[in-house]
Amino acid sequence: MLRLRRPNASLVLRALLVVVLAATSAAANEAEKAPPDLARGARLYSDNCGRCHNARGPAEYSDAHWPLIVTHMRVIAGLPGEQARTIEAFLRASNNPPPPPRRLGRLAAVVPAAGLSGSELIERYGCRGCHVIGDAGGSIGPSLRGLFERRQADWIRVQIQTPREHNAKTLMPLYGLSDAETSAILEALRAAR
Amino acid sequence: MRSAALVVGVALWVCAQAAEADELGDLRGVVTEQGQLIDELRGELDELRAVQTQEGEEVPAVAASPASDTDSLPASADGEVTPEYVDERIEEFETAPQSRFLISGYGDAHYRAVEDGPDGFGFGFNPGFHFRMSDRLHFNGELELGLQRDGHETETEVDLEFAQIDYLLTDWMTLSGGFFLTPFNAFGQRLHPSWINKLPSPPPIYGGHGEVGIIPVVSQVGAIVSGGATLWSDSSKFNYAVYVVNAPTIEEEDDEDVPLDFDFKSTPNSSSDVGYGARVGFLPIPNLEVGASYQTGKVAGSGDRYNLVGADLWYDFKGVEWRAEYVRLSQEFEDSSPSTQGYYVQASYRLDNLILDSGEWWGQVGRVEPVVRWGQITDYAPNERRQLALGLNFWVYESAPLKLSYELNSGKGGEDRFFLQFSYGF
Repeated sequence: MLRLRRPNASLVLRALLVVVLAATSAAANEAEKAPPDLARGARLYSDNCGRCHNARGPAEYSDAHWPLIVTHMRVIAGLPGEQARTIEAFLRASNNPPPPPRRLGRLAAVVPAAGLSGSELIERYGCRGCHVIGDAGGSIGPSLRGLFERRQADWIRVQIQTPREHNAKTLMPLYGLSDAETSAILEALRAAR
Repeated sequence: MRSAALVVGVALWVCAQAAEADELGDLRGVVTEQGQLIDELRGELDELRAVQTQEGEEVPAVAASPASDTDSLPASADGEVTPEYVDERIEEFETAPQSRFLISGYGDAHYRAVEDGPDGFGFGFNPGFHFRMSDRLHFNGELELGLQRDGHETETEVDLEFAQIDYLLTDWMTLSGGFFLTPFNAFGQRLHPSWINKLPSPPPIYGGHGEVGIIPVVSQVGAIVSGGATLWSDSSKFNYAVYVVNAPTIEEEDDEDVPLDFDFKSTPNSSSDVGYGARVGFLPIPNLEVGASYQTGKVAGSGDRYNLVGADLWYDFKGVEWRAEYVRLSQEFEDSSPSTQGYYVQASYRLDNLILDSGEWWGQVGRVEPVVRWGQITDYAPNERRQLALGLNFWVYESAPLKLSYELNSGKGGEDRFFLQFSYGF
């Protein structure tokens, strides 16, 4: 009579471990392929890191060092890994000044015609992660409600394109936005008040 | 036959010429239309400039772009900002290499004046070391450096705050081993660094470093499984930590055991006894965290059981940050179970919720943060100790506060204290 051997417990555990590792590795690879969602990263940064301490400026650490800090914080604060990676992507994207914006063509400096609207640019660059715009937003930066009542458009344009020109200590990232993008964002901010 | 073919050929050539003439005419028409369109667009551009100039915006000069600048761009010929363009730029941000090593940490310099006690200056320096062995395997450690008076000499004292290896098993689970900050409540593991703690002294329930409390900021030797996961939305989640550690040893004073005075760092373990515990944190909304902690086990070598119960709360209500913690430590002897318990509640409010820091001198008011903390401890004697701490912080940088505080301490051993501290996280 054929007898089935009882599976070795340690063998089962090892097999399970291999499956878990393979699955998590595949998931991590998938996550790495996805484009970084700056808006979500900014919001998660505000929600999670601000829970224990002031949000530190993205430029305080280099791109190369943020992963070490974020991983340590992930372990201390019990952050889900996917959220930690999104925060890391936001910080690295907002860290060192990116290459200067490239020219888009003769008319690009005016207003984007049929591309991304100012509202869409606000979402893509994650402005709402730190600022209240309209009815929603984070609290790392000041609320932008009534912004045009407090500041001239010229001042706001400079703040968006070269934030440290107004305040060397600002946490606001230097995204190197083009004139076209800045104009579109200005219009959207004006409409959102 | 030849003449017929010649006639046909001539006819075809005439037709082809006529067709070319028609196409040329069409092309001329298109060019004329494009020219008119360009003139219209120039007119619109001038109108837009005029409108924006009236509104106070300075329209930047539109520079003619070299063909090489636009050829490689994912933007259409008329320069619209496309999703592809923005995505490409964002991806460009993501090209920096990763480092394997980083030193971070914090330090402080302070002055303390104590009612009926010695006044003086002090300092703290805690360098931290972070190593990345792979994406999943990390090492983190932190030292605590200080000076210790030994007889007639002052010596450098080196203490270990934590040293642990972390293996990121999955997105929601990390395995760690070594000497780690015990995940009991929030202050000990996350809030005790001087640049994070809103007041120069720890809450009254936390002792160590000359402070009288129920427990110190606890680090223990053992193994830990921790992590977190989202619940019903991206902003609601829970975190957890489950651990087993060397059992704490009891401190002796004049060869007599002092109840509830434990050395949690016990290593090497003086017996085979262990302690085990857990903390669960629940974040239903982004501005609220409620945590519950528990640790129990046998006191090394004595056979007595100890129990450590805790609860912590963090709530940000319209810029007012509330923190509260509760701790109860008990020891089970054969004939009694002495316990000490206490709590604190702290509120702070950063004035930048009211005033924008725009670089103007008056904007600096936004860097001011008043803090108030109330705490109380009741021990097994029973003795009571109460503390009201009032503080005023000025955030020179977001990780560098200048802190001023006055503590009103009453009850056993309670002496009022004044602190001035400058702290920095790096």
